[in-house]
Amino acid sequence: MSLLELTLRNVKRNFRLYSIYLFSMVAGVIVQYTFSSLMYNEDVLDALQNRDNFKAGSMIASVTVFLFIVFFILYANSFFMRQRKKEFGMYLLYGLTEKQVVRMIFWETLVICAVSLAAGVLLGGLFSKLFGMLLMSLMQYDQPVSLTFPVEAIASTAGLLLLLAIVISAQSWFIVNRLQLTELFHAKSKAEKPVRVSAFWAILAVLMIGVAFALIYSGKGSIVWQEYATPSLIVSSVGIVAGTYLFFRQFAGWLLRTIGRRKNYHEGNTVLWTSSLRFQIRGNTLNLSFITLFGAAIMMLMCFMTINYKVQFEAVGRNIPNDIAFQSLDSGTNRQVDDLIRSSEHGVRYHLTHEALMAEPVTNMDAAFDNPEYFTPEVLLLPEAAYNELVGIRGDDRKVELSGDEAVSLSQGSDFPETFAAGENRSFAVKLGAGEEKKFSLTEKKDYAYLGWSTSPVESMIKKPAVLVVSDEAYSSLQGVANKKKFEIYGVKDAKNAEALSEQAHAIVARTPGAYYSSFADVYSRQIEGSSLMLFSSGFLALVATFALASVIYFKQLREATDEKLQYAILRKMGVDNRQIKSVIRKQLLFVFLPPLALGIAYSWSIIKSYILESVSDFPELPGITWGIIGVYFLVYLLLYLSSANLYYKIVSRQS
Amino acid sequence: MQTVILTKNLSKNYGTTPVLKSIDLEVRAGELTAIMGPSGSGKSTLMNVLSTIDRLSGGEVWLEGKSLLDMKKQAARQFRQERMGFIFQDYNLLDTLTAKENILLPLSLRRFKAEEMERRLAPIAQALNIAGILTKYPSELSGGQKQRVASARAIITNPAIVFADEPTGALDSRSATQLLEQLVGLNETFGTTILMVTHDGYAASYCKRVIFLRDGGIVNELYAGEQTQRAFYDRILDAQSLMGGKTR
Repeated sequence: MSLLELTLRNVKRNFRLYSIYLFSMVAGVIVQYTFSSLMYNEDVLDALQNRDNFKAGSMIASVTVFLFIVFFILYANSFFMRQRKKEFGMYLLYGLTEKQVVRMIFWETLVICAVSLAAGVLLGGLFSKLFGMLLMSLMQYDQPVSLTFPVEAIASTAGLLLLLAIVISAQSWFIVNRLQLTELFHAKSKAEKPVRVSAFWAILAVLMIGVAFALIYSGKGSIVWQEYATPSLIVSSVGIVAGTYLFFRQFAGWLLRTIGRRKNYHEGNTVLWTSSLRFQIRGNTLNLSFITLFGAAIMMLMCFMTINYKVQFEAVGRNIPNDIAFQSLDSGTNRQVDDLIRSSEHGVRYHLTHEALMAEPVTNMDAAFDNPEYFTPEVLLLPEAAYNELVGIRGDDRKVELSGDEAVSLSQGSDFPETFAAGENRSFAVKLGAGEEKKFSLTEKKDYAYLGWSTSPVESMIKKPAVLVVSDEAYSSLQGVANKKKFEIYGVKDAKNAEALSEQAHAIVARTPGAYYSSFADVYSRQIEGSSLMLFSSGFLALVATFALASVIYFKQLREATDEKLQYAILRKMGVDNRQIKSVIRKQLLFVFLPPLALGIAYSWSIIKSYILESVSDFPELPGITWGIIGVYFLVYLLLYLSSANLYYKIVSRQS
Repeated sequence: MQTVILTKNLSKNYGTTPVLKSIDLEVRAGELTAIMGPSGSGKSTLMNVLSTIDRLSGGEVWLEGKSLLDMKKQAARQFRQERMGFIFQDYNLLDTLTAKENILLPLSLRRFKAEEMERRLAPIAQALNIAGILTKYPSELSGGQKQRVASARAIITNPAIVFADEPTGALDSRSATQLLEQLVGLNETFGTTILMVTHDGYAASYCKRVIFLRDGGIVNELYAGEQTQRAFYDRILDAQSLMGGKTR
């Protein structure tokens, strides 16, 4: 029999094993091809405002996806090879050389790669159209995406497969060379004893996880995070990682031992479903810790990116509240910009010219503005009337009423806006003009902007003006001694798509160096594209990661079920029926599956809740979205559990 | 004495090949019987049919007076679980259970109370001399110890009959002798009915009755009577050479 015939026979005889392997290869190719063909899709590229950004972003994402697939396929292969160790041993025993066996594996791999390339590219093409449309709708463009097969994408996918074929052959070469023929003659037996457990370590595991949760739940405003941020971070990460590990090694073992010591332990099938778990703890620990932390990471990533995307639409408006605003320059320049805006397709909704006084802070900026490094060092004093006028036009419910020395600071972006009760007002002193000092008493620190971040079409969010709203009387009394700055504030129609207009306007304003300029459109398109791409890529990554997770779980179950086959055959001989065997398998797998799910969800929810949702508490729909994402993970996991249990049952019931 | 197994004209074919041909057999309660025969004589098939693991092709079988033909698959399984015990050549102990857990498993699966299980375990562990190894896992036990644990598992349910398929097949001669003596002990102490399949005359010589099978039919039957085990062994060897079967 030639090697080729032998290879073909292998595939026929081991079809089930091959089909699982082939499936993971095809899945990997689909993911890789979908992503890379999106990167080269002309329709997608045409729609984008910032192609370079997109290319850079999707490049990073595709490298990550690529690495994941390599990891995933190697894992699948090592499982596949281990299952066939005996077969390879037989070949060696009957006189094939190691080289011949490796060559045979190489041919097999090549065939499998070719099949996966063909199937993966066809399916991946369809998927990329689908995902392309999804991306466009995330970015809010109506661009149809056609079904194309870019040569670059096929080439990069083929390159990946070639690389994989080489790595797989190398991996096989190692396995075949390490193969000891004597292994063939030893029946597999579980020589190892269960892991030694102690109540001390079990309690420590729970304690560590408990401390981590307590820290996380205390929230970022609490004293531990405000005063001892670094130690808290270390303690909670160590608590989560080490606690999870100990949980699966010691707590799970301790729990099983405790169950085993119960008086009625021998009644029913508890003995059966707990007994093999005792032996699996050693091998399960790393796997389950990995699944827990990885699952939590996937959920957090998705939640974070989705929240980021959702918030982005509003956040741009909060950061850059004015469609176009710039510092008044000479009347010629102002006129030029005005004409430009009026003659554009956007047209003016409103136009205000406001005046503010320039001052230098005497009190530390921290008193009125959080993160003062984001603000200009000088402070603008704005009269209450001007502020209220703009707020009124915007339709926001943020008007103020001030008298005397009262003032309100506009500390947009603050996590902790404050209102100071009468008598507890914070004082804030500034120096004006020639050096006259004026003390204001702050009644409120608002998370709100009058003038947003200064922007330019190429560089967004440079700095934002520090604005102090003061009472009209204070303003008029200081008018004589201070220098003034005027601002032109425009509202235009369809501001989201006013990039072109902004570019022209900016060019005019920028002729005066250092002049303030801020436009909503500059940031909006970039932010939305950026966060759509981030959401999209992380969704993709989550998909691949879920695949990897699923394969880890699946292959583990496959292997365990294969190992346990004999045990279940014995049970059948003893007259245990299918219903009872199913119940044993379900209970055993539930003990393995449930804790990683529960812990993973608890970790990700508490972190997202305490650190992200708290900061965006004015978006009431976000907790729902977060639970939605967690719910999807739950469903996927449930599906994995059910299909694993089913697969397990099928394997142990198959006659050998 | 009560009849445990009764067969009339029992036959079994695999396809068109007859494996068992018109077997008439009666096993009474408390008997210790060996079925002997060369490889391919049909002794394992006979045991599989009698123990409801395999279906018969013709004739009739009654187990404790119930006809096998009338029994549905589920009923047969239940009968097997409740009224039969098994000892296999390769022990068939579960690797992940301790000796005690292995022994109690048939009772666990039938949801016996913990006290009742302990009550039954003690005398059996005593008789089989395994009280000291109950907390060990099979991988820590010798072949003879494993087979004694398996024997304990077989009789803990108080079965009507224990089927032993080459129980000494994987044991060295010392452990084999020990096990056989203990099986005789179980038979005498607890009155356990044991049907043993073996091709080994030495193992058979511990039984009270030996049935010889050849080409699917019963060709001879010996009773130990009052003679010593040694003498019975010689008679078995003679019978075997008369049949033309090889002794090993």
